[in-house]
Amino acid sequence: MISKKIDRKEVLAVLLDAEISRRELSSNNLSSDAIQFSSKDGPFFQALKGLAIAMSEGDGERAARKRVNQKIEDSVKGMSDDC
Amino acid sequence: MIVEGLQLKNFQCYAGEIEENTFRFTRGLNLIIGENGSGKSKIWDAFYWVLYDEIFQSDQREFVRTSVYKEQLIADKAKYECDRGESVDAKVILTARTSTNKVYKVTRVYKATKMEDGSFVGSDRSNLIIEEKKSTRWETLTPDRHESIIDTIIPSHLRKYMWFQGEHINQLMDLRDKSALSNVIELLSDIKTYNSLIEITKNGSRDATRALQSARRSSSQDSSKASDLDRSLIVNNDLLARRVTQQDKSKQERQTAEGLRDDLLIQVDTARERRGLAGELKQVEGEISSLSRDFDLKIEAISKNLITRQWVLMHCESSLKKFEDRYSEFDRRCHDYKKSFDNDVSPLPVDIPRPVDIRQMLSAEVCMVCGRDAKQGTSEHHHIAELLNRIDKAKEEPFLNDTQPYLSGLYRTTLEHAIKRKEIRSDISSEYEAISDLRAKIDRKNQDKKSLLNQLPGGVDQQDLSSGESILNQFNMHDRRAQDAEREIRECEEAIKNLRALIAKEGEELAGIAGAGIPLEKIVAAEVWEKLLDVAEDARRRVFQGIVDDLELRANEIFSDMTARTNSITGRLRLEVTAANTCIPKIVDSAGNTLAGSNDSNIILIKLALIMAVLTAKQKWSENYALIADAPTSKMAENYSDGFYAALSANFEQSIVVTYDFLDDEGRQRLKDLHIGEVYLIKSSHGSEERESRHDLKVTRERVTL
Repeated sequence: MISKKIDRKEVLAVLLDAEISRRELSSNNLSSDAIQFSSKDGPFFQALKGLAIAMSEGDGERAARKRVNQKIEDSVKGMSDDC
Repeated sequence: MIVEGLQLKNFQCYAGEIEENTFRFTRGLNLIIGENGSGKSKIWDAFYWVLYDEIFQSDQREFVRTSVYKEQLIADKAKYECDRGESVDAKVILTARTSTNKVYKVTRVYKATKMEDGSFVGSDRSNLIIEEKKSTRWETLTPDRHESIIDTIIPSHLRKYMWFQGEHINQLMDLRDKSALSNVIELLSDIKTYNSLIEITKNGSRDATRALQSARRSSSQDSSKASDLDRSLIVNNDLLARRVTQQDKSKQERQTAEGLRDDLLIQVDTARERRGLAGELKQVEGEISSLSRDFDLKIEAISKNLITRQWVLMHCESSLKKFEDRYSEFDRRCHDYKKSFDNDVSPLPVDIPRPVDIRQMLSAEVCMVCGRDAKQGTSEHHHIAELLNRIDKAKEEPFLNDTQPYLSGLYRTTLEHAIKRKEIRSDISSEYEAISDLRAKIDRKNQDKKSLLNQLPGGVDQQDLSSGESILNQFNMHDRRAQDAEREIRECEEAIKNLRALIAKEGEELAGIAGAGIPLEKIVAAEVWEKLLDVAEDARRRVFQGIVDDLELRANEIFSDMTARTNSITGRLRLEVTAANTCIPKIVDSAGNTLAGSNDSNIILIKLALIMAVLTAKQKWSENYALIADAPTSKMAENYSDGFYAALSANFEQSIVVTYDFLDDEGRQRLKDLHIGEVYLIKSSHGSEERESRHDLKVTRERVTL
């Protein structure tokens, strides 16, 4: 459970940092699909944002997951709209 | 946070009013110096009691509450001077200033009443008053704020690191306990938040995968096969999760076991040697004890031998000789006497003629036996008269109560003893030889034992012979544990590999029979959640590593402050993060190799460096907290303790140390380059051994200027 309010920026920064460095390590293996999939407006980054907001607002676990799912759905809709 | 003052009234050995027992503290290194037993540790007790209502009892090695300690809190002198029916109290006041310039005064009081019989009755609890300074007056705070104010002065989670006694350091930062540092890191960081992040993403990923599978199943052309596959996937995913957890556990177990095993590694050869020598030692000790038993028996028998083997006669030689001489004399005289008596003997019986007849013959001057005249003055008359003497002589018979047989028996015994005397002499000397022989044998065996003990690696100090055996047993046990864990890890690895392949295959199959109409967001969500889990785990690892790096850097800065004054320490501290996300401290050389065999002072320094690194992690705490320690250098050599004080002075805005270092002016010279606050010298009117229940005990403090 998330019990402590922490700085959203801090969480986001660490999460993004973790993702970017992970991607750097395995950049050669990333398919073009995956790159598009995790572009800044893609569902992955949206989900990260959702998590960061949930953490900073001290949401419970269920609420956090709901928020992440919502963000994924929104961005997927955005992707389909683009199509 | 700066502790500005500590005031005591009748608290333990500090008899007297507040004014007499006031300690002021400033920024820098504040010292309370005193001989062992002078009462300086009671200052530390006062600090602790005023905030936490507990007293550290060093003999029981535990904190006890006021409700248990009761009137022992009050100075004996004050109790003695208190009249019956009156009350007396112990009081401690602590004044502290926060970084935002708020000043708090914490007062704790304990009161007891003297009964008619001289005993004291006190309540079970003390009274706590906390006041806050408002410009010129003190405002009393309501009890519901007490806890938070005390937590402001000393945060409860840092309390054990900020307040400690020298003897606690080892357990405070137990380097063998692999989680000790990890706990510190949890304290220092939001790492727990990252754990919950992982938990959320794990659950999210599981749910998203299930949702996707369920969508596939419901849109499938072959619904029964799809639902079979789906069920199988759920089961296999559960199995996979269980295997992963099991593998994690085994990894942790392997790491713990290997750590414990490796800790023992340097001791193993020694332990083997000790075990071998222990066998020999046991035999020698057996022989020594059997010889000693014989020896003791012989010694014990000496006093018995005085009687049973008549050794006591050795000292009667002159008496025996005297007796022998006397007896010879007696015998000779008896013999002479008998002889003289035999010469005189008459052929007639003693009573013939009868004395009456003899007297008649004498008066008639005639022998009535032969008829011859026996005129007075003639030899005949004399012979008749002698017949009367013969009767008197008969009365004097010397052998009527004859002691001669008794004395002669005695003499024979004496003769026997005289002969035996020579035997006793040789008996004693042979016993003496036997005893000396035994003693020599015991000495030789003790020599053997000593040389065996000298051969014992680890020296004679560690005479616990079973330790070798127990170290080997422990080593083998941890080695077996590590091997078992290793086997389990490999089994899990194989199982995980197979399960993953199976799940992938089933997933593909399910996707293959899936129809159209699976919502895109479900597919995306499953993939995104899985990636989120990776990222969350990675983030936690990075944050953890970041904190460990900071802590390592900080601890090394402090460690080098501490070791700048001594050449005997080389190397630096390295905090190693393990796969199980715990943290192990090690001392390494410049090439990164672990340095083994650090001495005790060195280890204490490392622990103190870590404790100080935790407390001075400035970016983390809003306050700079004081370190308040009692005899922190008690287990350190002098050159090491100097380093400790230097590091304290350099790294803490304020520290208050109770110590027996720097008792004399010369010792205090060692402080001249440091940032020193106030220094007090504690003196007691009585030595520690005579301080129990002293009605006239007075402890005084003296401010020292350096």
